[in-house]
Amino acid sequence: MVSVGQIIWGPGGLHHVNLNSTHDLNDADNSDAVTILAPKTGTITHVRVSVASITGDPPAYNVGLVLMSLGNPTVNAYGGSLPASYDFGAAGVHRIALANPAAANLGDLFAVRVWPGGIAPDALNFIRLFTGVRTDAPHFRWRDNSFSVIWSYLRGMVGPMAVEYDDGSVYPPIVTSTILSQQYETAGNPEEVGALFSLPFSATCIGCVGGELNGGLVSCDWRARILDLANNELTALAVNQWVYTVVTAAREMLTLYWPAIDLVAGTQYRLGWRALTAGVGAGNTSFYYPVEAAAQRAYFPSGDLWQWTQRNAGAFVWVEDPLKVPVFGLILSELR
Amino acid sequence: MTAVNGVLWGPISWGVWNQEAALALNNATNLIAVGFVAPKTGTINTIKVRVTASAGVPPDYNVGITTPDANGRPQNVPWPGSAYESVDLAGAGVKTITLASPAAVTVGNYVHAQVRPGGIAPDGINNVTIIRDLTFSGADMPPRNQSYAGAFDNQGGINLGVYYDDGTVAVPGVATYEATPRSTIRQATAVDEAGARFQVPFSAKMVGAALYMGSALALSATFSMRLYDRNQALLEAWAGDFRELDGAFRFIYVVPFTERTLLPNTDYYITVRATNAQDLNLYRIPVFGLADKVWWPNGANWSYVETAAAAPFTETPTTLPYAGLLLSDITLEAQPLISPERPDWGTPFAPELYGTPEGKSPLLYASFFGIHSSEIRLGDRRVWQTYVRR
Repeated sequence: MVSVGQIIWGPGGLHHVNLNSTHDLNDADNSDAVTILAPKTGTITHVRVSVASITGDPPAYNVGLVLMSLGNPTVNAYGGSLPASYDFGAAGVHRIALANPAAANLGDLFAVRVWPGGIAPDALNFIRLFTGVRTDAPHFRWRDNSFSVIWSYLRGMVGPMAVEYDDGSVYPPIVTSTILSQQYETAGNPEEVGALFSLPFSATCIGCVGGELNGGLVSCDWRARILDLANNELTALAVNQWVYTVVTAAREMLTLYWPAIDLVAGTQYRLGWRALTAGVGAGNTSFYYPVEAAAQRAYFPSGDLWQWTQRNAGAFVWVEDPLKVPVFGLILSELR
Repeated sequence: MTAVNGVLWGPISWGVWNQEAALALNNATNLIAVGFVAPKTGTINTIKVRVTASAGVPPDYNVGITTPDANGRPQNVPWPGSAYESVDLAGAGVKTITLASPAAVTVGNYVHAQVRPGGIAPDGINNVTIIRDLTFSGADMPPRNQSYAGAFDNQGGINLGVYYDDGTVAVPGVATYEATPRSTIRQATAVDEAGARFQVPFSAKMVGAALYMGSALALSATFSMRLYDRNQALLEAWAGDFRELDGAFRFIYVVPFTERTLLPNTDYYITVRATNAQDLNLYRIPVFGLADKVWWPNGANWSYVETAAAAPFTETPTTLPYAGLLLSDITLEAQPLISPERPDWGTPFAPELYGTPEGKSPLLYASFFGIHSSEIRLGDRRVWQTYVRR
């Protein structure tokens, strides 16, 4: 047994999400880039770009890996690569082969960039890119760089662009939506949200954390709990709605303690936050990270073992979504 | 070995400070409170208060554990079975108040610790000023400052230290009031390198490191993020340049390192070294005592260190560095089979030669020596340790 004091385990350990937004590449110089520190040495053959929408008939854009200069992306190719000229015909995540792959070294600083090609886009013919999901305690794993008049920056965990190595690994995960949260209501659809998870080791769990949105609905009392797959409640804490509402921030990370419970390695459980009766229409809102592919959940802390789950009121009919990383976590005190 | 993709390990994985402020309790209504969910069932009997200023002859204040009102705000009602202590808080410094009538709480209870005026109200001439909140950046995580100065100030963060009668911490206390808790790090000065001494309680693969460097750093600063072994021999380094990285904001920098296996319960250092004559900053948390560090993720195993000109690190055990590791694998079954407390052993083997053979139980090897534990301790001191070459 290893005593660890108290640690936050799971995707919730990255703190809560901030807003996702978009950026239009609709003139001769608007550009978007994601700065990356290469996570490993290898050959990068593709980039992925998440397009929110298409307007008109946009011209082809340059898509490539570029060097940085004084903190800003350049158009100078990185790692021996050559950019592609690419026609984004539709919204969605595009997998784009570089005209020449890049030889990347662990820790290298470079950027994935999309910028206008020979024909400039305009206000009638352009692509709209996501700018990513930030955390409020930013980590420099990637940085979104948007150029309109000057470069501006966002930092976060889930990016609008990524690199793909020749072994198929993608970094960082790709964001696919500006919708990052789900209400759960006493009215019932859904009534309970949370995470289907397992632990890679056995552990003593003394509480949980969850990212919540304060605003919109009238907050309600709720019950935080762990259920087994037979829907037996293993531990729980009844939470008064004012724990939710006494803070002023729009997005919060709530930390709750409950009677300690031993969780078994490799066993699936559900962490559920269930709305309780506090008036019709009352409810709370929890966050998730929307990702392109289930495999990209592995980028989040132990995220390969966590996925979003929810159910409506009534019978225990749970619905999982492997493309949503729940912003929940456990507080663990001992590992075995 | 257990894969744990992308796990950020260490104190940095639980929020970071955004701001801090103090509040003068200089009228009949101002109060300092922290609301929190009791982390365990037990008796809370100690509250620590950091007084940052004292004026005139302050009257006694009431200090205690209280119940929330119908809206979750602190009210003037002691927790059932407990009572306020009437305390003279005059003079700056950390005051430890032991409750004669402590509060018996159950895990999950939402309670407040409070400092509020007693029978005689303080005024503009006779009062104390107390740290009001050290706020988590963005994330409003309980504990939660719910102090009052004409209106309630509700923010995720801490202000008072709150402890159970067994010495464990419910809410940690932070000892030093600074505009931003940080160290100024610059080449050719008294501190050109700072960071953390740490241990991991298991064998783990480290693939990256994280440090929280503040907004006051110079935008032209260059640095090296470094990993050392317990003998201060350099294991890894990553060169950074804020002209490229953008240091205009408080930032956690997670940088990739070559994959490296960390041995359990063995000292390592993760630091940032200034490589030009520009200021770097590293956030740190000076806490009241060692018990307070335990509140942060695996905080007991992390301490702030600093040095200059590659001299041996100077350690401050009661200061927590905002540092962390990026781990990819954890091995729980292999308990320590090295003896970092035996410096006389020298270094006959490279670190990768220490430990339990892959897939073998340490107890098996301990049994070979006729005992059934991998170590023997007398008090805090490890006096015997199995040692296996693989």
